[in-house]
Amino acid sequence: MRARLLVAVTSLAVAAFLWAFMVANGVVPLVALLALLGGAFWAFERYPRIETAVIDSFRRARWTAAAIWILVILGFPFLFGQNAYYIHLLVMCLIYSVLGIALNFQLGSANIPNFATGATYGIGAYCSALLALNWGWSFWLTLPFAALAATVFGFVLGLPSMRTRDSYLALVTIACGVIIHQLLNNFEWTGGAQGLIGIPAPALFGYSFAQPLRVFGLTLPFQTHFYYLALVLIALAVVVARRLHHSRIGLAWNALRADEVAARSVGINVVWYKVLAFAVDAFLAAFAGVLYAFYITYIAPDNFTFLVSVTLMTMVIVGGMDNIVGVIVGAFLLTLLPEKLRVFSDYRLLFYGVVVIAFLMIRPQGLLPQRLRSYGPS
Amino acid sequence: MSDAIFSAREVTIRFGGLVALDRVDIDVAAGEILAVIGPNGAGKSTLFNVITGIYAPSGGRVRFDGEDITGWQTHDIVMRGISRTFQASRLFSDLSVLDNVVIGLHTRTTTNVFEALCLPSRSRRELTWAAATATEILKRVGGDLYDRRYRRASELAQADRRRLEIARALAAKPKLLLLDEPTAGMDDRDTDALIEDIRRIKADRPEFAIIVVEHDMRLVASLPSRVVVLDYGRKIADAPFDVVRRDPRVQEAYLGQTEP
Repeated sequence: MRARLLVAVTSLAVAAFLWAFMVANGVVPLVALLALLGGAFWAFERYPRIETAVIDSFRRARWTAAAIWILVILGFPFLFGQNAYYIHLLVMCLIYSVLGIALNFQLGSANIPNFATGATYGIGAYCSALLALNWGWSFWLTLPFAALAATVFGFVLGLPSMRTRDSYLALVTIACGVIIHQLLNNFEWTGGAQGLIGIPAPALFGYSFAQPLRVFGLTLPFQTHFYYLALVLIALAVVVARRLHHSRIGLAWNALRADEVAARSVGINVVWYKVLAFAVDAFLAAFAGVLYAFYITYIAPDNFTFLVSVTLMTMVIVGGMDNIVGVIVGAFLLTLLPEKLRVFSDYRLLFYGVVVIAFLMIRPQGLLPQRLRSYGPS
Repeated sequence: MSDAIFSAREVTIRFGGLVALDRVDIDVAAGEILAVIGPNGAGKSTLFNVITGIYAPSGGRVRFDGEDITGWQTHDIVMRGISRTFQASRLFSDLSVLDNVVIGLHTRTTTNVFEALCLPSRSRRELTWAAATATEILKRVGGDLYDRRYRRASELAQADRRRLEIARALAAKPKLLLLDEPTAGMDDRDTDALIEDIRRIKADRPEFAIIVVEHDMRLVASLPSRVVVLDYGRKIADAPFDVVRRDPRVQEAYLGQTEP
């Protein structure tokens, strides 16, 4: 009973915080909210008992937690009524969460610095957009094909990892990201710098996602459809991430992260697992790309630059390496914060740099660090 | 030697102008413990790196269990049945003690990416089996490992780190185990305990062969049946310990420093 209460209080507090953070306007409330967040994590750090109690209660009252969160997540758009801007922010948060989870397979699980997630995201988006515009394929049909194309690209991108590693591999991925961006910019069939426009909205059994959503006598902006679609996508990403993490594949990636020579010496095929990490990353990033293309209906090379990859890395580092919840928290924070700090938008890159340096110095494990695996009921 | 499970013939490795190993022949029979000794820089660790495929030899052949494994990839060699520990222990230090051994079971588990994604119950069953097997191994290896199985490997004391490395190597059920200076940094009591551990492992599986690189003469004297001495990349002796210790060339090269 105490566990359930603690779960309910924590969950609702987190949801309330997110809501307050989204609607907060002006410097003072924003600073106050950030101070509150900082205070919460300071308390976690200072009194580990609180952290343990919260985590333990979530483990024991699993079903209560699930029920509360399903209600919160499904009902969240209703809190914003007619305001499309907030729903748009939520959709972008979810898309970035999927990308963060994708990158986490490499950066978090296996410690492979990949600066090309922006490119695989772009390949997914362009692939689906081209299929839809040229051949009139539906959203649902382009989804698997775009994912397949990006996965193949991921494999190709992973091949240099046979011969290079660490900073050299990072350079290779940066180069690949830049090449993809340049190609998208210069090819004629990708629309050049203007990109592709007029991507049709997805429809399900004739029901178009471009119309406002009417439920319970309420009318919600059309973005709400994409919020729920993104939820499906993120659920898929979480399932993929969890299943891989709790298998010998996740363990092999973790071994790779800790010590590559030792990993080889216990029989792990290091090259294969690195390439696999690239492929899984590309697969999920492409899904996010397809959703983005069909949501915004307009894509250009500049949506998929090196900066996107850097942003994603920041999200994973801030949220917590190899912690799915952490990555999602990081994605939400770093998607919302720049929106709130529009005034300083010229300094966005500087902001990311400062955040990364601060985290690497103060809390290198991220807001929610990786937890040790536990087996069985014990 | 016809019953050798492992044999290296004329193994040579050059780094630029430096000859780290010069036409070295080594045989190990099933169930045998072989000690490799020699001064610093004699080529002992290089020998291990050649056997485990971290370096490809510049010349010579390596055979193991009826197959020529020269130039194989490390992970294929482990799969074939050779495991090792490292001189400076190389644990997966940010993972739990138990996970280190579970990862050691990598070659005995099979789930691929599609099975992990589409058959989660199969993948979970395999991991549960691996965790149970790893727990058994930790119980047998002794020390505090079992009690500390849910702690991070980085929190272990030096002697337990070594034990954990051995446990991780044993998890793959090797036919040949390579121990690279297992007593480095250990005091006498820990060394005695380690000798006991190795004896116990041997008693469990008599057919199991070990090659141990060692500086500690006490361990060499009390364990192995045979000693190979390396000096400047050459093999200068290959005989039982009692013979080797009286060999003047060996005394000059190595033992002379400790037993004047």
